[in-house]
Amino acid sequence: MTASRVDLTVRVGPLRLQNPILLASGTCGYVYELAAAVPVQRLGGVIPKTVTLQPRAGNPPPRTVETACGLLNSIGLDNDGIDHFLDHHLPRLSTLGVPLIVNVAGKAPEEFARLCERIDRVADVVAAIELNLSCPNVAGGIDFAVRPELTEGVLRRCRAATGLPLIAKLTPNVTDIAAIGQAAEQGGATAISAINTVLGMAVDWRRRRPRLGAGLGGLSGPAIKPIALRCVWQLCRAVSCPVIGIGGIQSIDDVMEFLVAGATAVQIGTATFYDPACAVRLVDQLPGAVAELGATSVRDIVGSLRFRQ
Amino acid sequence: MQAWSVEEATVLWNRPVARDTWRMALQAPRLADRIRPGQFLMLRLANGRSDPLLARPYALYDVVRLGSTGDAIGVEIVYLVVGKQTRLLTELRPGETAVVWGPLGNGFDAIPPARHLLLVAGGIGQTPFYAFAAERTGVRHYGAEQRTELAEAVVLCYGARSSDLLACVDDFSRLPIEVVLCTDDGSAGRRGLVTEAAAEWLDRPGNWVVVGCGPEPMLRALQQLCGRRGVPCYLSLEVPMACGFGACFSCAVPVRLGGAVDYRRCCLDGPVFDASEVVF
Repeated sequence: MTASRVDLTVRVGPLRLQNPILLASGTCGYVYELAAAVPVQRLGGVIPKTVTLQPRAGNPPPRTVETACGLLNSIGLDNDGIDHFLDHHLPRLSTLGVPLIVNVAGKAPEEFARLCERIDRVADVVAAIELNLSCPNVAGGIDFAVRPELTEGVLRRCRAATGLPLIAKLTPNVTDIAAIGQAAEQGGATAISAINTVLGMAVDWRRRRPRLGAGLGGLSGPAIKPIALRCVWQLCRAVSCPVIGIGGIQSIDDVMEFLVAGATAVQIGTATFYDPACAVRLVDQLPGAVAELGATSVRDIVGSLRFRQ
Repeated sequence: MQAWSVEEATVLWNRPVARDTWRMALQAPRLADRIRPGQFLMLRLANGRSDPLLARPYALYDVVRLGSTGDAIGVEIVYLVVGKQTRLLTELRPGETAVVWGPLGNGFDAIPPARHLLLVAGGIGQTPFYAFAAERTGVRHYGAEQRTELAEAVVLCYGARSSDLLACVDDFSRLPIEVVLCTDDGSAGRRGLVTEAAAEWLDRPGNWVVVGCGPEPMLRALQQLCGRRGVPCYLSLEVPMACGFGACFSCAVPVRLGGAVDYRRCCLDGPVFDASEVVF
């Protein structure tokens, strides 16, 4: 099979994407910053930074610390709220020529539902909503995706609030991510994305202080890829909806590993920080890698992982 | 949003210029053509390396031009060896490559034209001032724009712990500016804090605009000094950055805007801030 004939399109529920490479929320700002240098319209989709109902200042600096092969962050959902997002960011985002998935977070199920209602009114320029059920950096907020019944509850409220595809973004900081995934699907999730960051910490022992302003943070980058792959594989076995893989992806090998393990699409996260053109390059490299497996379509290789009997 | 680009840059030279301080030139024509004084670039050792993972921000020191045509072909940075990444940087040889992206940040264009410029540098904070001083004295120009508003007088007060840490003093001395050196131990220039030297210059007649770059205690002292005297002051800040282009929200700087304190991204809204807005 020649690389030029490979079909890169994938389906996430009713959503048809030109390729399975997306930009992860929280790692591409409001996308226009990156679009000044990188042709983001070549991607399958983009997911701007989490939007909340009210503006949030975010956490005190330092907000990031580099660790071995990883990045620890506690940004704290710094954003100007849904009103500002709709008035200021959405008009710019809708001109980028790439499917837009809006990521939202609420402190209560009602807040998630209200956010979904607001976005539903601009559904003509939004491809889907991703629910950030799992930000580890928000003090006082409930981490919904650590308990199946809370996850299902949020999904049900959101499902009633919008007809847009709903993607439930899950945390790896749980005992059984498959059970959370099943609850999300039960509640009406169109797809599941995993994983959000792994809760971590960095200590400056000489000053006897945490290195992050907020104390704890979320680990991302190549260091967490094996955890993410494991979660994606476990989710794919437990649910029937599409799973979108996130976690430490920086090379075409990483992309292929997630697809073979069962991910319908992937999100590029931290790699954009240290390799801004990474995601676009992966789109270029994908046909060759799919062809190497003798496949004609990305869809043919999704979930083709074989275990030795 | 200004245009920026990613380039694979070839090292032209990389050599020590003072204790733990190196000067490196990288061939990067697209960057060199556009970058302005006070702007910065991100530099990553090589694609594929996962530790250290992230790029680091470096201020523009100077632009490298081809002798005959004067075309901008590269950028120079001056860096202090402080950790794993900068130690590895010293091992780069001419002909080897690194990945750079920029130009980034607002740069010194955020500062209105000034007749009398007092530049105050501490530690490695002198690096962005060479291009700035060279341009505002009409010696060199940067980017497509030809700046015309020259300063009548430019003074650099440059302080370090000791003389062996002072870097690139010869370059500054060749510019038509006043250079005042300060060291903590008196091994070069005057003994004492650079902010004390700056305060004495402000006593002289002139429409001073102060620009600071250096460690936080120095910047805080400068902010207070200029605040007391009602002198306009701008600070070029150095904060940890993961991406440099506005995507990560790591480089949050607390600023006071109309009474309320909010965070601004140092990479997009800075690194040059009006000192009266910065909250230390």
